[in-house]
Amino acid sequence: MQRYILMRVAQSVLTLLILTVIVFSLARIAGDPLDVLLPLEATVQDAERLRAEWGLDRPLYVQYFTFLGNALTGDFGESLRVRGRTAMSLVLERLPNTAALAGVAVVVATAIAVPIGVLSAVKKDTPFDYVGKAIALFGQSLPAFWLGLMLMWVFAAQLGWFPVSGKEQGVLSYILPAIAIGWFQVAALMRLVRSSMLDVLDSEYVKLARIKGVVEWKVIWKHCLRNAAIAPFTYFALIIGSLMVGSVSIEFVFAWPGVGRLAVDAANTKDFPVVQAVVITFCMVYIVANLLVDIAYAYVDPRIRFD
Amino acid sequence: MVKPTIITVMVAALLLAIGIACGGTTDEPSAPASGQTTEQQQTGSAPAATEAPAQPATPIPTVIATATPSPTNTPSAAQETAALGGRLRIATIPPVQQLVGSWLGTTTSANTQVRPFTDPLVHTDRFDGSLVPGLATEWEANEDGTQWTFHLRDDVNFHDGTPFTANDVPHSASLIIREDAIATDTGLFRGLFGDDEAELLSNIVALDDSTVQFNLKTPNSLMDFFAGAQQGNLFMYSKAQYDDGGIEAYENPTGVGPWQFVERTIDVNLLYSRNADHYRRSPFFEEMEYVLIPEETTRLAQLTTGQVQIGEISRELHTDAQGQNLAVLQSELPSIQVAFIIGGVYNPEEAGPCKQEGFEDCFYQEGDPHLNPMVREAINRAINREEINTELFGGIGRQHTVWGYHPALPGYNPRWTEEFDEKYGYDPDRARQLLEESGYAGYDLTLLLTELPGVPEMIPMGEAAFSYLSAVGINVTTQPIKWSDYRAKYYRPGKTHGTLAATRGTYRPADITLRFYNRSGDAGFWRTSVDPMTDVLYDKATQSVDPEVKAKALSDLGDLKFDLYSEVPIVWLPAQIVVNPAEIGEMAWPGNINASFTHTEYITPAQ
Repeated sequence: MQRYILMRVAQSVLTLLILTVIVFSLARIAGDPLDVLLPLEATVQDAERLRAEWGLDRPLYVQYFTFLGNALTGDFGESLRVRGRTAMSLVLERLPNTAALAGVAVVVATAIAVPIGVLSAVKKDTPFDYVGKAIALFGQSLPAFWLGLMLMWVFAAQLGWFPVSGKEQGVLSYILPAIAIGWFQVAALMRLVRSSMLDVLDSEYVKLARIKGVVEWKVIWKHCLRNAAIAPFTYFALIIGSLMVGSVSIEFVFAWPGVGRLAVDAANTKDFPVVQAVVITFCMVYIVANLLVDIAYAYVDPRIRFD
Repeated sequence: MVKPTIITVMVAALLLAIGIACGGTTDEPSAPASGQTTEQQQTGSAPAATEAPAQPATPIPTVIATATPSPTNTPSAAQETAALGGRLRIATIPPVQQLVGSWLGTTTSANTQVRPFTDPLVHTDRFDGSLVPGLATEWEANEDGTQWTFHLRDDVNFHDGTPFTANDVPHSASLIIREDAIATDTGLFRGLFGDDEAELLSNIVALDDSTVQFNLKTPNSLMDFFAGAQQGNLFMYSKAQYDDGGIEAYENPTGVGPWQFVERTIDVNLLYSRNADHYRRSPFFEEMEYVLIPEETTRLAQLTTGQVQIGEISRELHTDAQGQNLAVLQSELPSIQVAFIIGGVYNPEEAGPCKQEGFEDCFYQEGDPHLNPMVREAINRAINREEINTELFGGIGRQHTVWGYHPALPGYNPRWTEEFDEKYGYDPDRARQLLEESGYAGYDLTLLLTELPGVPEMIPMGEAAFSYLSAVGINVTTQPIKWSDYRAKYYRPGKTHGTLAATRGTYRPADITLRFYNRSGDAGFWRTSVDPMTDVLYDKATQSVDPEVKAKALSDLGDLKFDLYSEVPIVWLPAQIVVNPAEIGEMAWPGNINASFTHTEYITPAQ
């Protein structure tokens, strides 16, 4: 088991190292930040002065190892767009907002997906099932940013039920962006619940419960769902990671002050210290979530070994 | 029990899907405003807003001694007034640089975020855009434009109570040339006052508490323009605050503006409170908040729902906004000029081996088709300006005759207006004939499709030009390109041969535009030069503080540009914003300042 964990950790570190190379390279390929941040009137001397101050005049490999060395201590440098602030401080400032939105999105996705998934399984090949499948189809085919805009226009701009954007209005502010982010996951989660439920509904202990006279709703929601929930539950770790990444477009649409929006703003202005900090942070979340799931699986299922 | 709950959830989910499928779009106005034009929907500013005055209302002075401040902008003494409104909320695009230190970004960033809480030395009239007394009550230049003296008010305090004095001026100027500065004015100030703080402080001197003298290393006739920060960064910061807390103290800056800085949350908002005792005009609202919203549709939705009263919305959504009972306002003056720049038109004195490493053919290249004025005229004749204005700009554009020049600015020659149709009018047949006669029929031209903030129509305009130029037989190919690449690969290294690219500039004294676009040598950027006299006239104009000499030199230079078809001028455009007329009363702003929102202290709530 120890060897398995060590190998998984080593793989994660290697993945992260490769990612740093990719992120560093892409940030540089995207263009020179001076082209965006310097005024049109800036002279060649101005550009050279700032290039030297920001360390952009050094060879790329020197820049990379400097970046890598600093990144190990969590230092991604100073933001080029928000002078005086470090990239990591901006990320950490926004991370709770993104995590909170992702958390609410999980709740929303669960609240919608589980009942529909259960119902689709129980009423297999009936209109309920078809509707459930249609919802799944909608969820997987609608782009999140479009869905976000439509939700905003209908439920905020036209009906006035929710605020248009921002997070000043507490719980109400979370609803629309959470639905927009979570909708895609509704589809995946619903189908997972449905297939798990179908497996469980045919099992012997369910038949026994029915023979014993347990009421139907109890059979479904207590006995079946509890057992069918194992597979969807393990999927949650991945959902949280993808919800955070999926927040990029939705945070932009809803002007949500999270890491996703920070990433877009930073990318638009080629503020690559911030871009690097955001991407590495998101990757860390993904890698750590995957690592924990793998390790948890190994403990749950003794057959899993690193061979 | 449970089943009804499940059904309820399902019905809710279905309704949501139906709502999404059938929800209103931005094309479906709820209350059409039939027959209303943008002009008709203006909400109260007294003068006509769309048409710039035909004659200079108040030419930008080179020597001024103003004793009578403009009544619209300058109460004679500090006036304590009561606020009429609560919080003024403005939805705006997040500035490229988020700052409260004006030296940390471009003039647009500085004017948006800094101008509310602190003033430049010279104020800008909100109706005619002229320079009027502000912190400086009078100013004058010596004969050769190397020394400017500003006389300051002696009754102005910073928001923290410390008095504003002449000593704050050199300190504020020194911030612009700090090592970490990336201000629009940084290069300019280094050239005018010195590369380091010590040299600058020896050239900008407080003669007494209310007099400051600028001693320039090279003559400059526009020092009052730069002191007005219309397109610059010279805002007043407290030296006392710096002495107490260093540069970090400016994270929470005090100022001398009509609003006091309260707080900012990066990418979220900036909040200011009312300065009830401002020397010029205390705001009508208790607070002002810039709400930073990157997505345009979201800004429109914020306006529609009343969550903000003013919003920055692009022209393509104005019809939707008007359909939602919102009003589109235009600035008092034109804000943006739009044109095509004809590449390869360089000064013959810049011929010879290319100075730029890696480029074999840069700057003047004999035989370039664009060096022939007939070809340049043909390009101008091929473009249908009226159609571009109507179809792309909704007809709001005004005639543009010579790139860099406007009838309300010094140096404009009315002849250009009179002769424009005759010399530049849409005439594809004449364009074809000119190309034949010049021997360049069917020559190869690369149309660079690029855009800059503020004019999203630049790319469609380029696509329209493709059709016009192809129709007269030019072999046009298009190349989409980012502006930064256009700058780095084409105009900065002098490699614009065979190209045509749309550009936009701001409303400012012609000399500034000319420097960027027409001055050859290292001082210039595009270096378009239809005649070597361009440089001579430019230097004469920029180094003279005599208004007549300056205007004559500018006019002569404009004549060259007009007669020799230097560029392809298209239109002058006003700045536009969208307001909720139910909440906003009067709002007027000149539009010649590099920011979407200025003069916010004069905005009144609706009755």
